Amino acid sequence: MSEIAGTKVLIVDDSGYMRQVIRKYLEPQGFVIVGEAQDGWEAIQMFDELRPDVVTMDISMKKMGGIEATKKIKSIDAAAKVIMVSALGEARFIKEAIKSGASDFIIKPFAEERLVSSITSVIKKG
Amino acid sequence: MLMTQDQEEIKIFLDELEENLNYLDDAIIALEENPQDKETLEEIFRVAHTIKGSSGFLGLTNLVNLGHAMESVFMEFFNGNIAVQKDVIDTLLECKDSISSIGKALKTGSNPDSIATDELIERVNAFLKGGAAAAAEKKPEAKKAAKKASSSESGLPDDIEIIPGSIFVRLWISPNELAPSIRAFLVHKRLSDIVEIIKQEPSEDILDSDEFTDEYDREVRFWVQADVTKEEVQKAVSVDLIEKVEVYDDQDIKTEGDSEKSAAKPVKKQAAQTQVKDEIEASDSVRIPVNRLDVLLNLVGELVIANSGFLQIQDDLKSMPELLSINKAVRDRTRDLFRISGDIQELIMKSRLVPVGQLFSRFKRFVRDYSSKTGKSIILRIAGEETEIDKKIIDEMIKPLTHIVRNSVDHGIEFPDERKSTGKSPEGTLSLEATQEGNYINIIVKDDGKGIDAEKILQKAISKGIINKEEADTYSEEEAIHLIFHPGFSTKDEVTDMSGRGIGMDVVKTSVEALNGNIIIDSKVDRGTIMTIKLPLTLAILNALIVKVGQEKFCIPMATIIETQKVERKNFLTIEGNEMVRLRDTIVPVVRLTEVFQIEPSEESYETEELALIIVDFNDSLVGLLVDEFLNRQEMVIKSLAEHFRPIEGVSGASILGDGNIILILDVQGIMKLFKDLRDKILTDRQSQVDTKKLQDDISRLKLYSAQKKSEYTEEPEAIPEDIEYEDDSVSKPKVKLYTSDKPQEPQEEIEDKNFLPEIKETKQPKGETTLVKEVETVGEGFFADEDDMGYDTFSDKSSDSEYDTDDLSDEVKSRIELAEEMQNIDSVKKLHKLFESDNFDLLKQWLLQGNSRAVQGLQQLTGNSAIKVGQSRARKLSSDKTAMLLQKLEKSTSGMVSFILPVLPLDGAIHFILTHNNAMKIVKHMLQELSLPSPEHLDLEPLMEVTNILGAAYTNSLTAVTEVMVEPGTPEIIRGTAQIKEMIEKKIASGSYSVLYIENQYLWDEEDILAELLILLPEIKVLQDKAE
Repeated sequence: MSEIAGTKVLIVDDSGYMRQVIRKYLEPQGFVIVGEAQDGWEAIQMFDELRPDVVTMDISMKKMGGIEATKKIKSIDAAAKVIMVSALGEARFIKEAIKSGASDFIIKPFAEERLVSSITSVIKKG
Repeated sequence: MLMTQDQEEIKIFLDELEENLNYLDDAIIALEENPQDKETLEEIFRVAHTIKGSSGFLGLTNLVNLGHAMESVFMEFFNGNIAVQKDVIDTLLECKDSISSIGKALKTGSNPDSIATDELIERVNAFLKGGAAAAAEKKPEAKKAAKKASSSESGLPDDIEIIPGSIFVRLWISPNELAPSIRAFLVHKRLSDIVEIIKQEPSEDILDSDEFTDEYDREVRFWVQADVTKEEVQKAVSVDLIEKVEVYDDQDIKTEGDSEKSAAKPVKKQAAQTQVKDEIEASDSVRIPVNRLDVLLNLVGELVIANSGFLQIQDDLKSMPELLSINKAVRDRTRDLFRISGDIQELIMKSRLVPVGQLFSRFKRFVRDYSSKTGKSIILRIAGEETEIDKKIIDEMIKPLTHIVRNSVDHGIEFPDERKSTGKSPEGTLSLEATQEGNYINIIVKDDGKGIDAEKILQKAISKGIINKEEADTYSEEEAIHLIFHPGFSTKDEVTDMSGRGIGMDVVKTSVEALNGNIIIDSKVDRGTIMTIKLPLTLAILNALIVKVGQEKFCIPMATIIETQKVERKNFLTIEGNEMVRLRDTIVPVVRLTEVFQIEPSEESYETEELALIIVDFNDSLVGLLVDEFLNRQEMVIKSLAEHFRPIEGVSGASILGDGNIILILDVQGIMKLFKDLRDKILTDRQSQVDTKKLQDDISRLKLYSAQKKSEYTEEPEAIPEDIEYEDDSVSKPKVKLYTSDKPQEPQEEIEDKNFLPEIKETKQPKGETTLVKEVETVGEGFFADEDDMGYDTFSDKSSDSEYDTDDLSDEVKSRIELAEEMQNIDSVKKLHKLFESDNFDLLKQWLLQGNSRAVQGLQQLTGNSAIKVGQSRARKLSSDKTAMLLQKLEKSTSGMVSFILPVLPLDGAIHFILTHNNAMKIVKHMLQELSLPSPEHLDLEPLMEVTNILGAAYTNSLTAVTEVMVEPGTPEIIRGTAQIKEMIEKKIASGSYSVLYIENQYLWDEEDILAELLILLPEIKVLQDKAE
């Protein structure tokens, strides 16, 4: 637990509900939610400002989607850790995101353990 | 390690090798068709043995090993220990190819040892091992069992292929991973970021399919270059949801390996075999290099010319009666000479002849490989293979024939499904036939595929600027089809043959014509295509008609002459400057050779009543060549002009007459081209009379004649397949009442007052608050108090928010566009078409079962209620009218309910998620409870958007999995009523009706209570096909 306590997380999703879910799952575990973005454009800005340890990224959002945002974030910081969060039918996009440098992916709907384990794994193993 | 050998010896070895390899190609495939044929088996064994032996003598170890491996397999076939099956045959053919590559390397002087054969031999040995084991046949269960056994145990499994210099890693994907192929993809990427991946098992296709989870126990194996440490490899693959990773390098393998594994290494002992001498058998044939035959042929030509010289002398002597006795003697001797040289000529011609079956049988392999690679089912029929033809012609015809066969197989013969849907048998038939017709051979390539569409050709020709629209309108179907021979017709991407060099139908035509042959196409849409290539039996000698044009003599190949006619002057007419002749009951255009070659016509030609006309075949229509006089028919020996002169249009070669004069051989294609080019000039030299009605009549009669002519080449038409009727689903009335709702539904009134609408503000992101939800709550207070009311919600306006730049199109949007373009690909559209088949619901069922299962799983997880299950699930195919009616009724009955729409891309379909207000509240309540959040007082629609997303994705994902077509969900929106969907569907109605797949899925909260309903609407694929066209 100590290894993940204080890990800074940026949540990116256009659904308020989803952002709530992720926050609800992570805060009790000691993660610190440093920000919530509603689209890719905001995500990039907030990433640059806040430099979180991990970003959870939704794939389909208006204005700028998760793939492009991931690419741009990786270009700001090549070591950035981005985890794609997506519905099952978006396999092609998930693969695209992985190619762009996403560290892991989670399929909605997901259990709390899954989210936590994914972030933990990404932090520890890069 | 090649010992220095005589170049001659290597050449002999290579010639023999080539012969043997050609034999093996045919024989191995023949063996596949007749596994019981012991004779062939023995012969094959002997051939492999020979290869092995001779190679050993030259020290070519890899050849020896391959030969030995093949020999052993054949032995096992003979003993019945290994079954003659596709996989073994494939490997054997690969061995043969490998041997061929080594031979080529030897020929070009590169190092034959550089061709790697170890891996191939390993595979052959695997078969041998399997044969030696108890089971003569490899059963799939056995393979599975072996895999299962090795999967659950740690350690290096027995059946692992070992690649030296690599690191081998095996890992297992957790059963909790819903998308194992994406997981594998992630691992693959992480690995490839640090090291080169040599091999992966199973392949991506298997990972994507159901097979993976059933048979492979979710185990994935990678072989990577040993450029990194084991620890680095371990770290790279250890992502979340990956269990149990094992990494091995060469060291580990050596210590684990037992003697069995080293025995798998090929036997290298047989380096210097000296058995070869024993194996050279006396044979009753002598090999002659082809160029020696060429020289002989040339000499024969000279002989023919000398012969005719004698005939000439004979003629001259006739006019000198005083030399009668000498004349007689000369005549007798000439006759003898003639006879002997004739015999020699014939024999030499014959020795160059080779059965055409040699050419045809090459295609057996090609068609076989192609069929298995693409999934098309093609039967190859060969007839007339004993027909003999000059070897040079066969050599020249390989590429053109390959191109034609390739076209048939690529573009002609359809996939089994499409064939079935038009009433044809699922297997396509390609037939290669050779027949002899006098001094000519016909090679006929026939397929029963989808034929050539004259319309499409015309369109393409217009778009390529080959002809303009006006011209196109005058083209008959045959003329249109023959446009594919036009040089401008093929584009670069269609034009590469297997070796990457360009060949298009125009090259095919010129190749055929360079051999003094011609090619005709007969094609009917949906029935098939027949290509007939007519070739002279021999290259060197041409049957030609000698004619006089002005003071010049020319000759025209008989192959192109349909008939010769003397036509009375009065039957000639000129229409709009074009000269035509009335021939029996048709009109034929006339080309004067005097004009084309700009030769002064002879004096006599102005006076004669009857003009000499040669009717020739030009691209499937008739043309009359006007000459001054016919002289005689003669066998000409063709001498090529090529080395000495620039190519001359209209002239294809030359020959020497008996009197020593040179005569040019004319070529119809060239003449017509010259004619077209010079037409303007010619026209201004003529008077023109325009008689439009006659013109129409004449032109149509011309076409009629051509059409009739064409029918000579047509086959008996097969029965026209009947249009396949789609049955409307038998259920008479669509079920309209979908729910038992809590309260009686009352027709709702439109809520006009815009004051109720919350405003969407562009807000800067505050910390952690969900702005939009808040807006609805504050403004809508009291609005939702009355549960029967359904408020407007401007969430749905997201889509109309057009504030972003077009450059800034999100990836998502861009990808959607890509997807839609991808759907223009007919192949993927066809696969999806299967869903709409009335007689086979399997695919549909498969899809829905999978989709339902995932959707329910999702619902259960979100709400924490594991009692949720699917109530009803029904699919129907409805005509567009019925669908429209249904949607109308649906609108009425569901007004007041909470309703979302999710587009299905790129099929222009829709997923409609509908539930009562109460149930909507129920779901949201439970969803928030799962998060330990308090229930909302008013309905929060936002979480339901996610639900729509998740449910919809479940169905699109399984649709993709089941049809292999990329289907994806769009973005969900809240809607009121079904008007939007109706509009979406109605937009598709172009002309006439089509059908819609209408699927209703019902979810139950527990045993009885209906929770929600999900409707899926997919318009029929025909609409998409229209779009694609």
